[in-house]
Amino acid sequence: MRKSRMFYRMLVSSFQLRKSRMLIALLAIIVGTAVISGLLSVYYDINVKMGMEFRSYGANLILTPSSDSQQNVFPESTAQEIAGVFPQQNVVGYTSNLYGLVKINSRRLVVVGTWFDQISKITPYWELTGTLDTDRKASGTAFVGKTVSDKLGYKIGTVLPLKDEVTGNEQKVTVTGIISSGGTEDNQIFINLSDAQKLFHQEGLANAAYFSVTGEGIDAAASTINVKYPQMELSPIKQISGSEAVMLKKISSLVYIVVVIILLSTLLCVATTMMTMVMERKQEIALKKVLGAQNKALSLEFLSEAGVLALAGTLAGLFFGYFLAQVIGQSVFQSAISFRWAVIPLVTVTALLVAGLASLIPLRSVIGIEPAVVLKGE
Amino acid sequence: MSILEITGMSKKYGSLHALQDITFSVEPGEWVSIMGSSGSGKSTMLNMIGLMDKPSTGEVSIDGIVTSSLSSKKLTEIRRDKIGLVFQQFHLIPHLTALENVMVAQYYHSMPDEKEAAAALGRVGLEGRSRHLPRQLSGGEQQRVCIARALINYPALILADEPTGNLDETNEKIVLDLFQELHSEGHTIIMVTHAPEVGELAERQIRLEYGKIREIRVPGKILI
Ligand SMILES: Nc1ncnc2c1ncn2[C@@H]1O[C@H](COP(=O)(O)OP(=O)(O)OP(=O)(O)O)[C@@H](O)[C@H]1O
Ligand SMILES: [Mg+2]
Repeated sequence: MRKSRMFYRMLVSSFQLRKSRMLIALLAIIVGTAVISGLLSVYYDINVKMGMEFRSYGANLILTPSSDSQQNVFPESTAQEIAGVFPQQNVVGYTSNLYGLVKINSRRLVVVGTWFDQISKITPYWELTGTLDTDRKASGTAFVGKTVSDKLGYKIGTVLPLKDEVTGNEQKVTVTGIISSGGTEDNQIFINLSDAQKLFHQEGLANAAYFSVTGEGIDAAASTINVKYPQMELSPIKQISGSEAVMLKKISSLVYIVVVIILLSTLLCVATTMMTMVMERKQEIALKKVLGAQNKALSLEFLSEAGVLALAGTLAGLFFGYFLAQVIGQSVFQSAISFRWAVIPLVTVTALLVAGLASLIPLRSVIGIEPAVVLKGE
Repeated sequence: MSILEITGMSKKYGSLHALQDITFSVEPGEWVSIMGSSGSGKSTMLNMIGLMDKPSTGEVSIDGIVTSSLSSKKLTEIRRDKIGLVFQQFHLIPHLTALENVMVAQYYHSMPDEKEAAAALGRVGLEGRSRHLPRQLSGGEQQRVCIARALINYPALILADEPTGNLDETNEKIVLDLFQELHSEGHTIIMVTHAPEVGELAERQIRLEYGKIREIRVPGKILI
């Protein structure tokens, strides 16, 4: 016990004596770990968020009648058949949509018939206030886009008299929710698919179907389906696939390069600081050798100092890194970055490795110190 | 058995013969002075005896242990266990207190023992100074801390290289009185000095010239 106390005392006093030098090395490690942990957090976060969107966030295939077919509707059952082509566990969800124009008190609006229970799977990024009646057999409920709601004053509870000008059919629906998607959906009114089919007199038909499918080979599957159903056209939804995957790869190699450069510069800074420290302490080291210190014990002392520096630096670095991640997240991606626990061990081990590597050359000079030569000088 | 036995020891730095064919031995309890002008090889010789440097040829035995074929790790161990060193420039660790400087020697030897270290400081008349840093101590006090440090592990042999070389007369006297006390208690001392009045305190003076033993004398008598 006493021995470890002396060890600790020597460690602490050596830090006290070389405050400014230690501070430089510490700062180097703090800056290094902050930038690395910040970048990794952002990278992980964006990767996960985008990756989720890319794979299972929402629809990634759209089915429409092909242009050759001269049709704009198709039987709902086709969507079901096509969903059955993919392995069942890969199909997150799908929905058939039927579009039509209605008149509400002399205003023309777009009504979309859809399956309410599929909304959370096909368009999970919609912001919804209120509730949806997810029973497919339910009838008489609607939700409206935010713009429609704001402009026309449609609120939850408002009863809308829908009138199809072509067929003359009418139906009253009650607004139960308001959605905001940031897209054209904000201008539309959504009702149950079967309500829409009755209203527009298009029983069993749809204009489009959206699929959310995971797994490999979606593009290949789409081409075979297109061959098998010449009347239909199944195409990937482009905005959330290829280009973002490429972008992610680019971001990731950029992050790797930056991390390596930062590691190298931290390594250099810590190594020069350690080297200067050894040079400054030549006499002390020589004296300790005279007093019986073996190279192993002296190396351990130096490595401990480097280790303490690395750990203290990492602690502060992780702290600043978190804020850095938030700043990057807000200014570049307009989103908060969630804290990743995996960054802690990763950055700590890296910092320890860097400190250890940085100590290698200084340690060689510690071992090479000849007490007879060093202690002779004035 | 002799505490120190040197036979046919030489040291060459390139073409320079710093020491040539040195042979002598030191008995337990003896005080030996090594004298000579600057560059005569005194420090070189003390470094060989303190196992901090290896002779080019010849043999150094400490307390019966023949050292020429030992590894540097083993030599460090023998130095730690058998030898206490005092330097002209003190060589205290600047950021540790007087007490801690003594305890460092215990630390690398076996176990730091604060009580014993404090007693050693008391032994050299520094009981009130144990919490002071080296720079807060006078030269004489610093050198006494070094002596306390050299004594702490009960060495068989105390080596001192010009221990009073950096001290004024008053402090020189205090330090020399201390060495005399140690001697009277039975410690074996080898002290390098070029001051005749310091050398005369020893029972035997060995005078070097150009790396060779020129003269050995005991009080009142020249042996060689
Ligand atoms: N490491 C070394 N490399 C080369 N030459 C050395 C080395 N150490 C000592 N010498 C030379 O060996 C000779 C003896 O040196 P030493 O230090 O033993 O002298 P000294 O008697 O202690 O002198 P001083 O009274 O000035 O301390 C000198 O000429 C010195 O220049
Ligand atoms: Mg000398």
